Amino acid sequence: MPKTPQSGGSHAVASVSTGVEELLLAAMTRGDESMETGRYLVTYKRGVDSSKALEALGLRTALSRDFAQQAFSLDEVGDADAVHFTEIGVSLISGAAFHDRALSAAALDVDSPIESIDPEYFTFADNLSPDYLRGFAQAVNVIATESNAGRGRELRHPRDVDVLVAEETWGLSACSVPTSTRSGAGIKVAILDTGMDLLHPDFAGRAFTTATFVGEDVQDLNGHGTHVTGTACGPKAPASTTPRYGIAYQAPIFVGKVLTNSGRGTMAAALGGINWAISQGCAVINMSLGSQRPVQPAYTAAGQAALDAGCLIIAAAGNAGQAHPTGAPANSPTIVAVASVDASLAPSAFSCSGKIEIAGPGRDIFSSVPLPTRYGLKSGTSMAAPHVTGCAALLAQTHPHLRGTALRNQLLANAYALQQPADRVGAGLVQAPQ
Amino acid sequence: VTQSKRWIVTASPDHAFGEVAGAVAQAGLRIEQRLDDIGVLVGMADEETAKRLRTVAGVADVSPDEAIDIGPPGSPRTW
Repeated sequence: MPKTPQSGGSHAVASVSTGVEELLLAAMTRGDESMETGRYLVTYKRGVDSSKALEALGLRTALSRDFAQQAFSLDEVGDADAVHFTEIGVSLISGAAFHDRALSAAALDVDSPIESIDPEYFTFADNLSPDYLRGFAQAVNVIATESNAGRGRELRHPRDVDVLVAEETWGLSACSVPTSTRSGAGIKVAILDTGMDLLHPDFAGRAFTTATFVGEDVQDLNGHGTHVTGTACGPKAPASTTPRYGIAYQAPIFVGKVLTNSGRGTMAAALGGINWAISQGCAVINMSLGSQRPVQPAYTAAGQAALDAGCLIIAAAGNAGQAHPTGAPANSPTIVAVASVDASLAPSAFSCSGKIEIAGPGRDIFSSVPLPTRYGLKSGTSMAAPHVTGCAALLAQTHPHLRGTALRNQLLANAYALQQPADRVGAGLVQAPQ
Repeated sequence: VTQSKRWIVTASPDHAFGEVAGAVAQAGLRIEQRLDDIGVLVGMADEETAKRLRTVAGVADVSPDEAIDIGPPGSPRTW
């Protein structure tokens, strides 16, 4: 007996040539957590010429063998109803074709060449289970506590490492965030990145102001922007039983999408984002992005304009490794460059060196990622920068004069000094105001 | 025929930004973005025009727009 799909619904965008990002956006928009893409996969009974079966049902079918080396892109098949993967005898059909041709009924017919029709599901590379994440968070906190003790540094608020669920991430603990009395309330924070999952339950009720500079919806389908925003501005108490991972939990969030969902952008878009954030009165701008280039005069001018307007730009130094200099925009003198340290508080191997003002936790950082995955670990100076941004927002809240250059100077003065040279960690590890 | 490309024009802060914007437009930059808060213009021009823009009073820098790439969705390590 052939299997038939259990769900129907509207699948207007789920054509065979629709890109995965568009499919994901459609799934998120309709609040669908089923992980179904809206398309269907068809298998055939033994002995059937599967390449002709769908044509017989009146579907326009593109054959994978008609493309060079079968390495075709789904967006090249145009308005076909289906794509047949010749070598494996499986077809992918559009949601519309499935519903229009009543294929579920066709599949049930004993004379049908079709063996099964099943929904296609999204797959995610970093689909970590909550149990794994809990175990990991516990482990990194143990490592952080032990290594700090070995270095003669005590965490200011040692945690009982036997608890099953860590209360906060190692990064927040290392930055003394949990004991800070500040929340970032009233301090506008801009995150210039790949956008944000505005439907993430940990951000329900948060004030978002958004703008896009890349012609795509602000909704983040990359994950980078949602992760960075989570660290800088995530909640004091996440919706589920995860450790606290966010710093400025009451800061109004300004999401400027300057990178596409594929993680690409241009300097022009990044500059457009800075201009917007300044015009919105943001006190801190996070830029977890860049490229290996010499100092760019436009970024330097933008950084100076920000300081003059009482705004501090914080940028990731880059992940090209110790042998490589800080990239742009972090290499501009008017912008704070952030290096990454590991849980042992040693500089991360990937972290660029040279023009570095301060360091932040940047390896194995736990934070929010878009639904349906919700949480994930990422590493990079991209993750270190939002620790500094979040702490800067808390610090700005302590005094209205702590803005621009004054905020920068106080942030560096408050850093926890590390033994490594300044070209690797700058003034040291960023600390939240107590 | 030289191809038109995108340029980032940084104005000197000691000149009125509106005047610089007017002068570079006059010199041939097709302005796409006028970023008043940071004193930067983004626009299209060919190489010859870009050279000319560098001589306009109040222009501090003319650089080609550059790509940024932080990696594909779900990357465990990014920028």
